[in-house]
Amino acid sequence: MSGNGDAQDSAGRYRATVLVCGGERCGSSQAAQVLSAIQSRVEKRGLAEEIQVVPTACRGLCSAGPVVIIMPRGLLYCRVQLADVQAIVEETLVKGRVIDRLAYVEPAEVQEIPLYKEIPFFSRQVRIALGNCGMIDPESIEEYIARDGYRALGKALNQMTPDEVIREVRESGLRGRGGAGFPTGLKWELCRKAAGKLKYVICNGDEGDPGAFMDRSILESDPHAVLEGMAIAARAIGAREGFIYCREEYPLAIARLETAIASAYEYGLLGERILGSDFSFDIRIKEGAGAFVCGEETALISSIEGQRGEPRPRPPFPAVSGLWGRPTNINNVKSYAMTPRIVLRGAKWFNGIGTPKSPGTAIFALTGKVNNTGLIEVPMGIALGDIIFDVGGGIPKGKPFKAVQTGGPLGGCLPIAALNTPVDFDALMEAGAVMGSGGMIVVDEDTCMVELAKYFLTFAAAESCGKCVPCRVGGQRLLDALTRITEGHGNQRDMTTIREVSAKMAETSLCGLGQRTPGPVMAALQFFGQEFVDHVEDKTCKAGQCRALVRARCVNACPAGVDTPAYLALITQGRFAEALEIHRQRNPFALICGRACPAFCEKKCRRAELDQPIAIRLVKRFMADQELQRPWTPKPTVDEKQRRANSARKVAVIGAGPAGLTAALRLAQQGYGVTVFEKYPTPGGMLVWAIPEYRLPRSIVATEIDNIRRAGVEIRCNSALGKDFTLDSLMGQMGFNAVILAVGAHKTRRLGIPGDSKIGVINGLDFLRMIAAGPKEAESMKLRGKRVGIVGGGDVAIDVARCALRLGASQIHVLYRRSGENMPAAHLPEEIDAAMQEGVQFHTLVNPIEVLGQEQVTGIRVQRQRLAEFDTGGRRRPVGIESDIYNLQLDVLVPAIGQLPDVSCFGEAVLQTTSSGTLVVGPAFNTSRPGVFAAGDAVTGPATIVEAIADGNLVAIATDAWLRTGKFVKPVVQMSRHDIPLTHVLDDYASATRPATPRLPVDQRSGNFAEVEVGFSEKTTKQEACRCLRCDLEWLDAMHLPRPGGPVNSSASPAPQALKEVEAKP
Amino acid sequence: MTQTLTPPRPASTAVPVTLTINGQKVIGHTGQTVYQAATDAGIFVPVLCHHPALPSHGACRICVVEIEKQRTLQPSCTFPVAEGLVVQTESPRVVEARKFVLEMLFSERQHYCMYCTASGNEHGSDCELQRLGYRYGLDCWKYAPNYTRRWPVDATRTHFMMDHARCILCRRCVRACHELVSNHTLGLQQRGTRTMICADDSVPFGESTCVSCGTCLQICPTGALYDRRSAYLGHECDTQRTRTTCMQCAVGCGIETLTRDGSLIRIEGLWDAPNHGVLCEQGRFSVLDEIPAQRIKQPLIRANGQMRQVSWDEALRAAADGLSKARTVAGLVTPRVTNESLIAFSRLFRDIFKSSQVGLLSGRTPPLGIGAAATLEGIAKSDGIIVIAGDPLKNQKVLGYMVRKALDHGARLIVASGEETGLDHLADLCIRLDVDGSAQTKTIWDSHKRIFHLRSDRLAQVKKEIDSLRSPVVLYGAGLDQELYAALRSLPAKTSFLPLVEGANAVGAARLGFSLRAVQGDALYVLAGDEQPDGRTLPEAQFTIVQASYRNAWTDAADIVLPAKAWFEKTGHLTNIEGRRLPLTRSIEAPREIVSDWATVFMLSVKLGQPLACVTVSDATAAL
Repeated sequence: MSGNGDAQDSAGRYRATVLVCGGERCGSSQAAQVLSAIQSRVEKRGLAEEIQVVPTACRGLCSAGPVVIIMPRGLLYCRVQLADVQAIVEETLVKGRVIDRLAYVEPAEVQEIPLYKEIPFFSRQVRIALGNCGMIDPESIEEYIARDGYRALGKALNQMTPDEVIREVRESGLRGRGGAGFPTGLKWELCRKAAGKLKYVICNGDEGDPGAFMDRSILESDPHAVLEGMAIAARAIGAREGFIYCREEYPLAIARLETAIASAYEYGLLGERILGSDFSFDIRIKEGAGAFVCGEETALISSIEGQRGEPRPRPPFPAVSGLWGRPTNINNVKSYAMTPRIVLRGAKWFNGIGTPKSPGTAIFALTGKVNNTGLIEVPMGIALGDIIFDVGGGIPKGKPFKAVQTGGPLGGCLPIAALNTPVDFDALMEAGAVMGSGGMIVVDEDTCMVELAKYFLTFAAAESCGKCVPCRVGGQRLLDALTRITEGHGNQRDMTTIREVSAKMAETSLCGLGQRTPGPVMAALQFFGQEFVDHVEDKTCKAGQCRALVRARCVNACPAGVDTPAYLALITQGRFAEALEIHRQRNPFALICGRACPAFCEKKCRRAELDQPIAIRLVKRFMADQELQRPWTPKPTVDEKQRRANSARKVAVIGAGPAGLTAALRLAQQGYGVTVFEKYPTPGGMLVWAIPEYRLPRSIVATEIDNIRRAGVEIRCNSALGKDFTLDSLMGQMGFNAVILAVGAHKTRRLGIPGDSKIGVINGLDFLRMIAAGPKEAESMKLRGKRVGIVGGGDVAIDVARCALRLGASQIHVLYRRSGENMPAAHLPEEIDAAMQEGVQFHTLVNPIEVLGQEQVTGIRVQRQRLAEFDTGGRRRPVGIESDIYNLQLDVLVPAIGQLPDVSCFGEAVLQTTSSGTLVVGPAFNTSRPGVFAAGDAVTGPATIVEAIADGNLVAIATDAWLRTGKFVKPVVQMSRHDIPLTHVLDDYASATRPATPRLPVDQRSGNFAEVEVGFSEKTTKQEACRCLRCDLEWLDAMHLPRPGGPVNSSASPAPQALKEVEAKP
Repeated sequence: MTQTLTPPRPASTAVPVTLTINGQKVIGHTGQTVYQAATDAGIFVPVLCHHPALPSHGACRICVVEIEKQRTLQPSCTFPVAEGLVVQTESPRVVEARKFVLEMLFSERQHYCMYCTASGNEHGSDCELQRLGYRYGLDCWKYAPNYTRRWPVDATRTHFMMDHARCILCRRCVRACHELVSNHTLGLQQRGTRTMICADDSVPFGESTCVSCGTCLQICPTGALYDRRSAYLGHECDTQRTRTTCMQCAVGCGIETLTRDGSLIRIEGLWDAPNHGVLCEQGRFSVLDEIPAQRIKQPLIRANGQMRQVSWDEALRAAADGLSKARTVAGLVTPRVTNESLIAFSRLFRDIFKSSQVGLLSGRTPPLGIGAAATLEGIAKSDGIIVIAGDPLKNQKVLGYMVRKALDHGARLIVASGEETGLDHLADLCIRLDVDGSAQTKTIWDSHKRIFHLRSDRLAQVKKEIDSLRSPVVLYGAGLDQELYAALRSLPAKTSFLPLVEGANAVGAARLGFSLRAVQGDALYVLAGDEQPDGRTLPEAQFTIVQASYRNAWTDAADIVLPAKAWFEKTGHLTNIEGRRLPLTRSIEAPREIVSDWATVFMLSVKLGQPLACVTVSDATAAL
């Protein structure tokens, strides 16, 4: 059964029924005005006789509210504004047309879905407790009765004995929806059997979880279901009186309950001798004062008794000694709301839904970083990922999913690996979280799990009643430890405290609140332990949330930790050389990164919350280009004495890519004798051998490599490890004291399908290397007029596609096995856009299964894919659709499905590698051989330029430490901090927007490798830099540090000390 | 704090059960908790929030034990025993948990033991928390204590202080205030770590409805509540304790005196007496404050308008001489003397002076023995209480607390009184009695002239109420008129009665025929003991002997002054309001020259040439 039932049942005499959600006191939308506008419009048009307008309570899809549903067609309109009313009445109600702009748009799709039943948000739901919500007027008992209301009570009173009622509920397998999941039937039975004539039933509506409103919604939308459920329970256990405990903060729920109780009395459904039976039952409302702990049943009982809301030890259990010492049955609102359906439709129907051990449905308040926030009811056993991605519509802005907190503030967060977990009481518990009463908070990569755990802990500690010592003090001690960690003062003792206190709280606390208070932090530790380590050991917060650890999100997001706000601030003043100096402290490749950096900084830029992120990369490019003519000679970073001491030692760097060159530079700046060995004839690694010229011109790379040489680094090309020398010879007769392996990942993964070695199959990196080698080599591939297929969705695939196009290929097909938004290249959306503009065809959800042709490739057989369960990366795994196979005619096939480091060059020297072929290193970048360090793609797998540079900086620190002390020291990126005064008025740039990226027109790109991006002008650059919100200055305020002085005008002379790097001490 | 209670007798429905504690078979009974069963079997289980005089609370978690088949550790103070339970009270898991609870407590507020008046050492300490700290080897702060937060000290109460920094929020004080005293002053404010003990709506304790009974002080396990008088006078564990009976009123609360080096340090209520540890402000605090400095240590004789110290022999000879010369001898005795002394005094007058002019110095006593005698415990459990012509909350405070306790359990209350009483606002029915006679009295013993009358329609109303009750208790004061008295006598047999007697041993005195009445004679012998004049004057006589503990207006006007023991130096027996014989045991040795009251009387009888038979305990018991 689904509650998507048809409203025409109750509205037979009307042609159409317009259901408007929300109601007077719905805080989330202007539903009330919309409702009255539709009503008056309908009346004005003389349609009142044929069209019924009904105010309903919440339908759950709150993110799209106010929602208007038009029955019997089942049209659903979202975010209806007053201005839309006319159109709804005139177009839809009068002329029967669908208004597309109001239809619901599935976040992952681009198509409007106007029909209520087809929207995944609703179609995957099974509404039992929420069945009437949004479908009836909650203030009308008639509407409730019209939808089978009170039939279950009639049946329970006149056709069933109390024991039969209990048996039915027991057999249904209904488990307490308050969170603990205790079998409801068993609870009733215990209470029925308890000695004593006077018994009570209590409905627990003390819903206190932040962000959860399941109970409120039911009480507001379908109060009679709760009353009926309570009456049935009272009949079953032999109670005469019932209480509904509802928090005072729910005035609408209380008002609706009062109305419902009054109507029920009026109809003889409450009070003396109900429905002619010998059963009499009264219900009273007890308004709670809003203490979270009062949701605990014994505390709730204390509160009803007029005592301080504190739990009591159990045993005795309320079923034996509850309210005023009498046997008492307490159930959650949702449990009572489900009861009438179970009695009416039978246990078999109910346990046919859900899983064997958790039958029925689960109700969640879905909130956080998810597109469709709101209230949902889904069958038990549905996968967590299905809730988030189907019902919830996925994560906003396509950001990666990180975790989901279930069970409210006492629950636990579950990581990507748990996305396939079936949602039921036992599976969630096993996964490390709890069902709880139904809060479900989704978080994305921008959420710091330590901070999140702290948030929940703050709540739980504040809501501790203070009765038992473990909860009262333990919660505070946990909070203290987490606060120190998030503020950058954490140490190992805090980690020990968290573990010990959590374990002991769980074991010794009086009630569930204390026992579960450590839940979120324990789960966070279990699944996101590395984040705690980052905070404690490295004093970093990768998610960029912990204020003390994050000066500005852009700095935090940059793997190399470049002080972005500082150089942007200098650029606003035209001080490009100083700006570049700051950049080079962390990243010596500003010219390169100004062109080919994925710009993690821009993705986290806070300006994006206002309009668009600062175009940091293009501003940087202009800054670097300004200084192009002035060769840079890197300065030493240590004093003369240290330099002299260091100069006695020699370091070999294998690989002249960005990681190796950066490491070489940093060590050379410290005085070491550094030699870089490069296998290929030109240094640069992937910078020259993979990234095509139209993205990164060779001359630019050469300029910056010359800078490295000027620092004293010797670069020997055409000398390969394993061929010209070995690790042994390096450290032996060649006299190097340390070796840094920065060999990159130059080996392409094979397709691994029949025919993948046919002529015409060129792997991606080889393809790009041919092009980099020169026009002759490129032409030798003879691509002109050919059909080129590329398998993969990463940067290499896109680069190959665009190069092939430039070399005259007639058709370019990119085949990717997942959906488009899952492409690894999607982190550079402009690349994909450019490729599409240039004419590349993308085929998603296809997987090659065989390369066709005799010796020469003639085509490829591909199988369409569907997305199944979630893999360890949080993406749905593509699964082949057996019958859906087709052939694609091709002349050249380029596999670009991932790269590996080539470990064959290490020869005899056995260095440990992972299953994916990368080198295993310790925290100090140390390999299994002393003195040999490794960094870059060889360790991380294929990554970005800036990540390689960051690795280069770090491995240099580690190598230096080892050379000087003989110890392996874990290098840490120190927070970079230059306080540059703000010299312009930010408000002047309040409405300034990001300029478009200047590019060569598409028609000028084909057939040549000219740089596509053009760059900003000086004026644009300065103006764009002025848009920076200067989060770094706010950080100073937050840390109670003085802002840098200086008059606020552009002619201010630079403070010389401004460029000195200040040691960051949060 | 250190007293133990004898275990409560099992309820009649209790069934014996066998459980295993630390491998040892223990026989308990249903209705018991694991803590009780273990304690009865001599197995130590630490407690902090639990106190035998209070219902189990289960808050502090120090008493957790490991019980087979239970997922988490369970508090033994609330976990009911059951057949076959297997319990570990000191397993490593339990010890770890206890250490954790202690570490949490020590880290919560500022438990700097060395700064605390309750601090001791591993051999003995007044602080239960500190004792457990030693027991479980807490030699350092595992979790840094809260240095930054200041915790208030409330010194607004006259007799004792509250230092919130040492409070562990066990709520013993709060529960004692509610459960034992029924005063409902103490409570808790805020929640979580911000939880604080507070009075009423968070007013300073001294401005609250607190009645300074000090039960909270006595039950506090730490140094959070401490007595101003005994603070900084050394440790409680170094004091001597004497079980005796309070002599401040006729309730006869069981007390324990704490003495050191011949001085009274503190008084505590006996947990196993009917007062369940509860005392009133007078009995616990004021009595110590009111001990005057000017002690009479030797007999005195007035000569030439001057009081002169003389030997016992000389004084007694002068007294016998004076008394012999008088035609009539009148006698007054304080109700603050033992039964033994009362008998000696009464025999002196009956057998030697042949005088009927004997009366009480104070303590108005209603007629005894109207019907079945009520007990303090019976009152607390009764379903209806009728108070007539008296104010227990003023004159028999602990009895008043018992009345309120009954009300907390749902009892009805009828108050019929001549003037406003402390119970009026709690009464279901409050009636004003008509008052005959002069309320204006010159001397305190003139007040017996007041007679109370209850209108017949109101009387009928009261009777009707009583009929509807299961176990009504009537508390009646002195001065009921004939009609009212007869009405009480005619109440149904289920009714029990308690006279609202004033004066510590007034019941004993009344049983020996002493009453508050005016006496007259040529000579007057006043056995005043430690009773103070409080502005009252003695009857005129040619020759006056005052036997008293302290110098006062009466002794200043006397011809002969004989020393007397103060209440804490006496040994003997009293008869309390319920008619129970209660022991009085000296807590402190009297100065060398001072003898018991009855011994003085005896010595006097010797000087008078008619030695009385020595009074023995059995003598006194028989006489009563």
